[in-house]
Amino acid sequence: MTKPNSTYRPQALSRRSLLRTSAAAAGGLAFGLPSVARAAGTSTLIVSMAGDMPSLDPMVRFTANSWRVSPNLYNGLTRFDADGTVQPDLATSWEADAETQSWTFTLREGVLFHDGEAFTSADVKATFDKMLDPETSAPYRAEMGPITSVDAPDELTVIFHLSAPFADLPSTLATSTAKIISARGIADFENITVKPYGTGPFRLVSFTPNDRLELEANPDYFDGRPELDRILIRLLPDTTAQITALRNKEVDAIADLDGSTAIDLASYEGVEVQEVPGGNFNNLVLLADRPPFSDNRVREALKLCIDREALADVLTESAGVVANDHPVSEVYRYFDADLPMRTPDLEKAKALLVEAGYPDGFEHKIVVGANPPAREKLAVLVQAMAQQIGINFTIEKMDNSRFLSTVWNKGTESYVGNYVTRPTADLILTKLYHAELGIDEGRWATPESNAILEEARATTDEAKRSELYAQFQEMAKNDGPFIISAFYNNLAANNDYVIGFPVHRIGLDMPLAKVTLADGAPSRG
Amino acid sequence: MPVRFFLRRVAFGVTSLLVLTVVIFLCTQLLPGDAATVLLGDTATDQALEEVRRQLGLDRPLPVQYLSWLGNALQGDFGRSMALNQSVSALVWPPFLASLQLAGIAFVSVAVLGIAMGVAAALAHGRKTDWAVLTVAYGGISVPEFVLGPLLILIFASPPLQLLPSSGAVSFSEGPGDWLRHMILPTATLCAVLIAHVVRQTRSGVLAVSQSEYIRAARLHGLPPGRVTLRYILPNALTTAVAVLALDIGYLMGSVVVVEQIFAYPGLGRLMLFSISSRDLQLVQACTLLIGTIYIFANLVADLVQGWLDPRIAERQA
Amino acid sequence: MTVLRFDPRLATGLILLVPPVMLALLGLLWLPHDPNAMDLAHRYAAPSGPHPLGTDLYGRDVLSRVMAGGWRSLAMGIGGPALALVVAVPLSLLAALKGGWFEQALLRLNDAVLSIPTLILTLLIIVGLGASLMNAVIAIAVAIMPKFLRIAHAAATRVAIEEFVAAARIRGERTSYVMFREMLPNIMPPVIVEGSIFIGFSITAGATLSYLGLGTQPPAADWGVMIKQSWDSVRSSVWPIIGAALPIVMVILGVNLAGDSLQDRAGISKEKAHV
Repeated sequence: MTKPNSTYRPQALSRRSLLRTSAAAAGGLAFGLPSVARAAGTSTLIVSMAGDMPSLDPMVRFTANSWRVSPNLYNGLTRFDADGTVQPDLATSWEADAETQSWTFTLREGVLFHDGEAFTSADVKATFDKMLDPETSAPYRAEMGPITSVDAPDELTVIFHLSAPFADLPSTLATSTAKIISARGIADFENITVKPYGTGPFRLVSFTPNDRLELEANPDYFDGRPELDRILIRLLPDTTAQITALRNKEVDAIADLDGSTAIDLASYEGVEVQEVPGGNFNNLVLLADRPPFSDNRVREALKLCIDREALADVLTESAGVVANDHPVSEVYRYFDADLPMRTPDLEKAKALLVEAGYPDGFEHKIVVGANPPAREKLAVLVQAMAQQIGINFTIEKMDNSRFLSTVWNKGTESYVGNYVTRPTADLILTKLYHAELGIDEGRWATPESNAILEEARATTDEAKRSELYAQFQEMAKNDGPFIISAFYNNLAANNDYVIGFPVHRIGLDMPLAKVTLADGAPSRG
Repeated sequence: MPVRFFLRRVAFGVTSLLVLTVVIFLCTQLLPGDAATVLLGDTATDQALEEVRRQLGLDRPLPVQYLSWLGNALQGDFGRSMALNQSVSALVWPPFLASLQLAGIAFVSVAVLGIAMGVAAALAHGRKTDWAVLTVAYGGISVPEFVLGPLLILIFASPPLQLLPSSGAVSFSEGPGDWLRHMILPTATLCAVLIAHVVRQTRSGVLAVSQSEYIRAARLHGLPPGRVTLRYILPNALTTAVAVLALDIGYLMGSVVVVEQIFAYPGLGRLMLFSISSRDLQLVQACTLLIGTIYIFANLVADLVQGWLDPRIAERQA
Repeated sequence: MTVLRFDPRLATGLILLVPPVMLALLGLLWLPHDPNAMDLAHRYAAPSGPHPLGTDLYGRDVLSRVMAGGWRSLAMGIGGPALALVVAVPLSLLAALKGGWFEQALLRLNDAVLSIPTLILTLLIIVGLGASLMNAVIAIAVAIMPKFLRIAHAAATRVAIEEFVAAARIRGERTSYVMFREMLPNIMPPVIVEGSIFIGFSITAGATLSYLGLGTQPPAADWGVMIKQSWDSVRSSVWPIIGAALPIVMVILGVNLAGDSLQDRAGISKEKAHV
């Protein structure tokens, strides 16, 4: 084999901003849309998704695809709009006590479940009692906040009791895992994977796991009957099949795309690509409790050799933004836009390595799981860039199940993690950096870093919170245990006769209640 | 056909099936990671994992797990799918029937086209027809499924041609025409390799028989060529073809996995890949056992057909 | 055996096999570029002088990757079936000679394993073994071995009842002599021809394994992985796919043509049907 020497040549800065269409249109058009001529007959929207959808369970057995679907079958107490702002949903108003140790929600009146029964506080209590029960092992239990119990003093009031002050509860309750299931659904929980018990704008017609899901408009929906009569969700694993189906109008929209598919689709007439900023990212984990990365000079050297612009461009195929080694993207409220972006500096990086006692560099292994392929892409790119300063990474790729069960968060090896946007900056920071409330993925937390996070999530003083989170972002950037070089934009595509197809900045919600079909939509019996 | 031959074959089939259950069970036990880790994914805690494992009965000794699985499977109960939280028996039927349709059509096409083309090529040995058939056959065999499938989509389903749907399936009751249109591309992809295989084996089978001593003797006795072909060459060559076809069912079942993924066909192959990647052992076991049973059954039938076509085989093995 | 008649299939087959195999072997000794060297300013480049097959999504030279990855694909595509053959043939000969419970047990086990779809079995085995190129070859070999064993056994049973085998045993020859000197040459043609159908499968299976993180490790290449990974960007550049698919097609076609030609000779001269 040839000996790999300086195997990486930096790119002339040329970030294509090809798409960048309707961030506002996606959200703006969805509401208060002028009346659009309805296609004759029943209006059916067909949406394709890649990946699996084995279940419709919003609480325990969910996947990215069932998250997308859940706002159509269920409602939460609150919800995110396309911009990531919290809006009322099944709750109309809420307030916290002085210490933010308990939150009171007032519920919407006159809401009916799909089975015709009225929605009351008993359903909310049943849902959260189920979630809080350790036997349920709800994966996102911890990310709801420090809820200890839920009370229902009257039919339209619920009170959440917390074990510690927590200012973000209305945001965390907007996630897809906190959808309200009827008390009857909780009693029939073993069928929740195939039988939705929700209040949402669409009702189930049929569901074949991992293949197709058919929904029909709910005429009794509290926010008015949706424009669409029917929705069909199809799961198409193959990219070629997916693109062809969209162009043939066999499907009307694709719910998630990668950057290169988006570039391709944008070139076809009659296809609209939607792109909004997001917060999904991959992080290279550098364990801070053992050499070589226990020395921050080594972590910094690695961060300094990364050509972020180039890396982000390749990793996201131009559909993303540069990140600064911390997980807070611009879609979060407490994103610190003033924190300067690190620029590559190879000389300084080499000097730091010499100082740290690695004048000749070192060898190190990165483990990647096979899914999503971006894990491997990040590792391969970092490998090429790190070679410039003498850090030689080897990459070990393994199937995802083995990766998750033997490497992920075991604190033994460097690997590439994969995270989706959380409802708040607090949740993603706490998850990744806090030693007790989260997983401290980089084995890096100190009592001081933990204290900052605890103080920030407890206070309702906006200025104070901004200051604390900015402080933490700077710490994570300068000292933290991750290489995070890019945030992915959220992408979707639809044929141009689909009006108001949603792409959210936060989370994966795909609420279709306000979508309409204009002329040119294929008529479907 | 001697009864003893029949019974013996059936006994073989049953034994193979029993061995299969052990093989499947052991294979699935070797998989690292379990449904619990995959289900909880990047959100797992040790406590939650143990709780889920206990609920799944993953903490019992292996032989106990095997016997209780086998006992239940015999009664048609394959347990509950971890990933989908539904009864496995109910889950596997619709995809199984869908795959059966796909594989069935492919199999019949392979059998009919493969044998016909093989015989035609052999009878035209060395002439144009022979070369034409072989060229088609070699073309089919040399392109892997995961290249051929997307290629067919790009050619036949994309603009400008748009002759056929790109993916998915509709049920026969929704419209036979539509059903068939959805079947064509996946079936064609499945058939490409196998037709070539059957063509070649049939062709060489016919060639071998037609140049054998007794056919030469028949010709020397002045029997008309058509009669020699129909009465002597074809039945002999057919035994070869049947044996090859039986073996190809295994290959077909394997290709179905790839093809269903490309064409988003809701079959057992797709379910199997999902079940392996999500470590849904109950589902892996049920799917594998189902496909294995089909295979063993098909081979049993093939054996019996061979015994019927060529009684000497039955005599020898009885 | 009749005098070797010129067969265009054999010639074409061999001619097709030479370039991909040579390319793969040459790749072990010399490469035009470092196959892992990135050039992010020239991603998805069309073919040109310095890059005869263009560049891939990281701006790596496609030709160098085709050459460097060839031996891995050949290891899986030819090594897998070859390993299966080396184990299956002696086993089947022994079974045909010994008969009795050994033969029966082997056949029942074989039928059971044979009934699991090959790709699924390959996946199950390698997930159990853990990911590496060697394990991928082993998994592929184990998964297709039952098919070889079945064909070899069918041929061996026919040969075992031939007079020359009986004669050799009466002469008091050792079992190994009977197996390898008397029987082996007579069962190889059908087995090798059958084997050729699995070369394509094995390369494909190898690619699937690598794609799932169970075979070739990044950033190294093999032909199958190059095709799989380039499908997503096929509309940006089609050259990585063509560069990797062409040698696969040539190998499969070459082996099949040559194999058929050999089978026809053997079949016709020995007057035997196969399987």
